[in-house]
Amino acid sequence: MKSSKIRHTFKLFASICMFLLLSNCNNDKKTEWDTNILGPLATFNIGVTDLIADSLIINDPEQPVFIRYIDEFNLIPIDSVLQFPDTAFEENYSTPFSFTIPAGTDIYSENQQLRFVYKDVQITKAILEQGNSILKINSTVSDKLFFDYSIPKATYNNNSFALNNQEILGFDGVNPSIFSITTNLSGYNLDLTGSDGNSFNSLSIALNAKLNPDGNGTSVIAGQELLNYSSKFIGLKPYYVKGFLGTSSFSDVNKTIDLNDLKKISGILSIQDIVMNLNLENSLGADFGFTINNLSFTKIESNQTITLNSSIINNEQLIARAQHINNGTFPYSPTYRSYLFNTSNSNIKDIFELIPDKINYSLAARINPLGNISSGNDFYYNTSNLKVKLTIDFPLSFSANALTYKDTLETEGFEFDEENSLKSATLSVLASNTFPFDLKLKTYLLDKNKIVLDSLLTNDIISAGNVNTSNKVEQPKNSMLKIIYNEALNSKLKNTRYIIVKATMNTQPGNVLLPIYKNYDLKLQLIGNGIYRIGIK
Amino acid sequence: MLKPFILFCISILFFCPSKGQDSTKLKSKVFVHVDEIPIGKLYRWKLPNYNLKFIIESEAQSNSTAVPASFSNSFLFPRFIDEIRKNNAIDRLNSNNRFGALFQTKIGVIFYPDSTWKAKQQGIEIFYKNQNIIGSHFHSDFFKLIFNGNAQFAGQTADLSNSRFSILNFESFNIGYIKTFKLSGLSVNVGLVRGRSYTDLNIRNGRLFTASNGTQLNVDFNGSFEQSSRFSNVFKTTPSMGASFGFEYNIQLPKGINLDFKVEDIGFINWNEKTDLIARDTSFVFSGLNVNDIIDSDKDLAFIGDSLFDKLRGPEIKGSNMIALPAFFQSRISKYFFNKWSASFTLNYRYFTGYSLFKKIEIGKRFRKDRYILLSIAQGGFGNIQTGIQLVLINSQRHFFKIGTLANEGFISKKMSGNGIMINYNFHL
Repeated sequence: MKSSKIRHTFKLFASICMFLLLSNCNNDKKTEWDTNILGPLATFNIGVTDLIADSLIINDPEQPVFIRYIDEFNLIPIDSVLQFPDTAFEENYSTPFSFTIPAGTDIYSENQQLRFVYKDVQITKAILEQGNSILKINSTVSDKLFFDYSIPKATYNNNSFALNNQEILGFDGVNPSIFSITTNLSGYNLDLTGSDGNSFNSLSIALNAKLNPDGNGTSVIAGQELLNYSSKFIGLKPYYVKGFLGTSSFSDVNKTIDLNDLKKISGILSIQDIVMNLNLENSLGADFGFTINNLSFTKIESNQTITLNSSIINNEQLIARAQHINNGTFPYSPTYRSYLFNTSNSNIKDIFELIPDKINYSLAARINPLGNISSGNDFYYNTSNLKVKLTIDFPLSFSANALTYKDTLETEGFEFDEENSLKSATLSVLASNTFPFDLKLKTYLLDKNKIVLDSLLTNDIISAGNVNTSNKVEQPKNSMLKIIYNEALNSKLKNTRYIIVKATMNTQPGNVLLPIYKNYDLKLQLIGNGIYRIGIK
Repeated sequence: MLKPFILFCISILFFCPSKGQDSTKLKSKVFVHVDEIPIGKLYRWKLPNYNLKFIIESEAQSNSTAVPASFSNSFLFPRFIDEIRKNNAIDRLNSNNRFGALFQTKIGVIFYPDSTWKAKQQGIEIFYKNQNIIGSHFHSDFFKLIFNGNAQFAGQTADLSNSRFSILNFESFNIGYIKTFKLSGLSVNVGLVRGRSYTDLNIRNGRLFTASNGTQLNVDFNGSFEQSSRFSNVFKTTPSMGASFGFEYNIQLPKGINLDFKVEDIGFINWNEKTDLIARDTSFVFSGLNVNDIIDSDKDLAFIGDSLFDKLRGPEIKGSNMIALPAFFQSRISKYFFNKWSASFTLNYRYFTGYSLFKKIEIGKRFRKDRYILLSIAQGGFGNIQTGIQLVLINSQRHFFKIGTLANEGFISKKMSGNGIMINYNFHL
């Protein structure tokens, strides 16, 4: 009876517990609700100085923007022209007879002419900025040797390079006795006229070795190698050289430069004016000549090509050598040559308005086009070069008609959580524009086969600021663009592999050259208004 | 869901056959706590005829001055909160609303050793208690902002002032001493407390203006936010520990009047040094993440919400923080009539966000087989006017099972918020 009651009460209790458990067993569910969130998400300001580096704008902020673009570069990679080639000398010494060498006998005494091999460069003097000399002697003579090594025409503070009375231990019967020394030649003057003083690229080196004078002499066998001697010059880089710098030349024929970024821009652009100045500076102690045989610019999309019309084309231009001077920042005075391209003497304006995306050119250049007219007095300093300075001046005043920027971006697709919390939204872009041009924006989503899935912006226009009678915008003009988001867009975004962005610019009013002022800007504010699902587990 | 459940319980009360012994015989053998049997003779001060008694108690209830149970049930029984449910709540909101919930489980044992202890009517109790408590008081705009978003405030200012939201979860291991006298009883316990999680958002003064076109948000905030580390329970971090103290005293007065005083959870938790402590008094205008700044500073692209949150939060400060436990104070007076009826009046207060002085009047009746029904009406706590029903479904020699619920919605009035369930099971050897 008692156990029956217990069983019964337990059964009842278990029933109630089960009822409660089953009622509350949906633990994988979440408490969710939708909220409507409205607020600013991001702001982005595009000003003139965001589009054009401030350093390029040279005028008063109150005046229309005037741009000066300057580019400077060295025409000659100088290291490849005047770097001493690594050079080595090596010799073995043996005797044809077997005999005994008395103590203190000179067993090796040689003067060698080391020659640095260039094409047609003939250097007679050099001051080294860096580089090393490596001397190595292997001896198989059983007694000690003493040697003197010198480079008589390599001087530092008027002292010749010399290693005197250096000792090499005797051969132990197993391994040669080795002497090795590396010397830093930085700051050394090299006279490269050779031992006779009339040569070039030549350096005399001398080695004199004698047997230990305090020894007992040594026996040698016919044909036995007594000495192996090498002298290397590694990484010699000159601070200054004198001589004949040769007639190195190079030419590029029918070369092409692709301006890929400009391929994304098309349309009609009119600019007010443009002036280009090409300045050449020759600080080499050698003449320089160059010829531009052809220079043409192409817009591939419209298949238009414009060739530069200028007197410089097909006429070799000579730039005389620099001159040595005693005073100044540098020990030389460069020579200059300047070429001006403007709307009066060339068609450079037409070229810029073409917005070319390909440049074709043929040109040739050479050093010493007139030969060795300095009688070996060409010079080079490590600061010498042929410098090109390109200056382009133009007022930022233009008219654009359907000037279009189009780009295709690749993407891996956009992943969304299965429980995407954003259910629907309208993303508004509030644009406040003081630029005097409209911007028509289009964005397309494409799948892997480049089939359009959807568009986010179609024919949405950011309106131009209104200009006054002076063609100046005083007040920004507001526009609102809207992007509608719903859950159906998720799958399209997921399958998106390409995004086409297209922005078309039209200055307003049309066909009028409109100056751009530095305070112009385009303020964009992204505002979200969406249903966001909040979930709590 | 609640309605069929209560009907189910009542059906057990009235119609389920019981093989139990006659109640008059059982009464003398059953020792129950003062909360368990409010009617009939005072059995609790009689010496128990067992040595060991197991206690399983569980209680879950939510209450509010405005938020209907159908809304808060969505958190207890997860489901989607649709516009109808939200609007039902919003229609009842005013400038000062309260909501709270309590989820509590207690498992313990009371031991009366067969020794001089029992002769002296002394016992010891050991129990583990886990308590989740949520409390809040809030302006109606706060509720609307959380559950409907800020779009509805376009062109307006949402007033979030005087809003506070607190969640506390802790567990304690307690040991106590019980002493019974001829007509009274006393129990005292101390506990070792471990904090599991704590969140407290206190907006003393808060306003959010949403521009009509969404171009800017103007935020005024004076308040604080504290949150324990999510890792406070990992072994390698310093645990958040504390201590608690509680006692209870009962006395039987002439003419069937009983007085009961109870205090629970007087104590503290010292949250460890990884607790977020934020106190802000700030005003700012948010116009969106400044992309130019990000590009200029070469930072990683931040999440837009983070930027707004960063502005609101300010510099991150972590440290240890000691808080008081949600101490519970209760006094009750009860009287019994004719061996079948009882009436009691209870006052209690819990030291926690959103809890006000709780007043309850309860009427009880005993049915056959020692089953009981208790009906109450109360005011205060986390809610306002509320009704309740409790049923003692099993009351045998070894088992005692009580279940109760708030019976506001679906029974009394749809305008009375709150619901809950209490389960109490004792088993003794």
